[in-house]
Amino acid sequence: MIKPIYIHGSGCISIQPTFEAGYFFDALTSYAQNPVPALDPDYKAFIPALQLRRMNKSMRMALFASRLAMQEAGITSIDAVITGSGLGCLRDSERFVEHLRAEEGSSLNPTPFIQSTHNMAAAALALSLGCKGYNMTYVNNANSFESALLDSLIYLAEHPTETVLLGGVDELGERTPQFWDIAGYLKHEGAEIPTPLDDRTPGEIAAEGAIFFIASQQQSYQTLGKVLAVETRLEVDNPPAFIAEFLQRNGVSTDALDAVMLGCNGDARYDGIYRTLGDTLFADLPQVAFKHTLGEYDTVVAAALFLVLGIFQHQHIPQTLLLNEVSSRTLQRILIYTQRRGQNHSVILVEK
Amino acid sequence: MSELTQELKAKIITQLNLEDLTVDDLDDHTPLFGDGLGLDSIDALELIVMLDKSYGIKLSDPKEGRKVFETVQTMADFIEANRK
Repeated sequence: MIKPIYIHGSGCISIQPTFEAGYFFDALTSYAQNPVPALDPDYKAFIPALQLRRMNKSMRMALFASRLAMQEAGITSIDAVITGSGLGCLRDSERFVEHLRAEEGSSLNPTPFIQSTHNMAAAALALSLGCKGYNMTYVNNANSFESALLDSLIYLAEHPTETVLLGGVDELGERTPQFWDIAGYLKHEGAEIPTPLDDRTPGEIAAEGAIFFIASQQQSYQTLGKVLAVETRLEVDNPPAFIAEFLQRNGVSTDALDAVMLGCNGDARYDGIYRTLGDTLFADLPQVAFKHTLGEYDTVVAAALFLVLGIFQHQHIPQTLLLNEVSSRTLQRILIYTQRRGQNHSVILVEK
Repeated sequence: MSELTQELKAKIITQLNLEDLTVDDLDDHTPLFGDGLGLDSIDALELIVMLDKSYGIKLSDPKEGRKVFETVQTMADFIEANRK
């Protein structure tokens, strides 16, 4: 059995001011647009201007969020970098393809080519932090962060004295959202943040962000919480059974949970999955949503973990995130369950 | 020539994302690499692509680049002598 990993620091760039000290979702930034770009912190606080100029948004966000996590954990070096990204450095990928088309394969600018890969953020982190150790990026659609998390659990089981920088990052492209729109992914009617979750309209609000954590197998006074287990499944016929079996395998009953975090995003086509769970398996638990405030992207589930750690720390669930009126005396153990467009289901069990 | 150096400075700033610089900050004789502007090898590649795209000049000998890209002024001189 894999041992839990302890999280000692976290950093989050999103469409809410999550990078500001003390911010904890009690007040939300509203938007009436789709897609919604992430708020920009003062990147120069952590990134030298000469490096910053060539970095795309994924790299900037990842580096800034990582530095926040390291600062919170009180460390200056790490042994490994493990990231997840559904679509990688999308803007540079688009630029590269557009140049390729416009120039018919000649005179291609090197920067978008070099920076168009999914693992560019992890590479930039390693370069910036001088980390020559294990460096891995997982590209598994909406389970990319969960795959990175699972690898972190395995890596730290094999390297118990090491410290891992773990995270998820995804950026919006300039052209790709137009393709998403054609594919029917994006919400038009009622496209707003916070997204009404009782809405009956289809589509999601596309967004972007980067969320990073410092993880190890050592508990310390800095520890924010521990991840006990994670599981992913591309297709699930019966989500309540999938979750119940996961809990059983990990020796936890729903009674032993203090809250559940669900990935409702206002897409009427798929939010029924969460409603069913809320009415059955999790009826007696505080139910917490997060995507209605942060939008949807492949690695947004990492923000759920960021939020859970915040809930442990504050011992309080912000009213803006609560889906029901149930309260809990303590907030020590929380389950995260998400899926996207009916696929890429995942469960993460987190404990204080 | 002055018009060309001004144009070059604007192109360099845009192409290399030198966000904190304006055309006025960039002197004609400031070294672009090393202790001057501090550009690196990827920037050199970007400048080679820029010469090709904007002025139709292909650098056939990469070693030539060291001399050509020394300053904005040396770039302008090279473009004046070679542009098609």
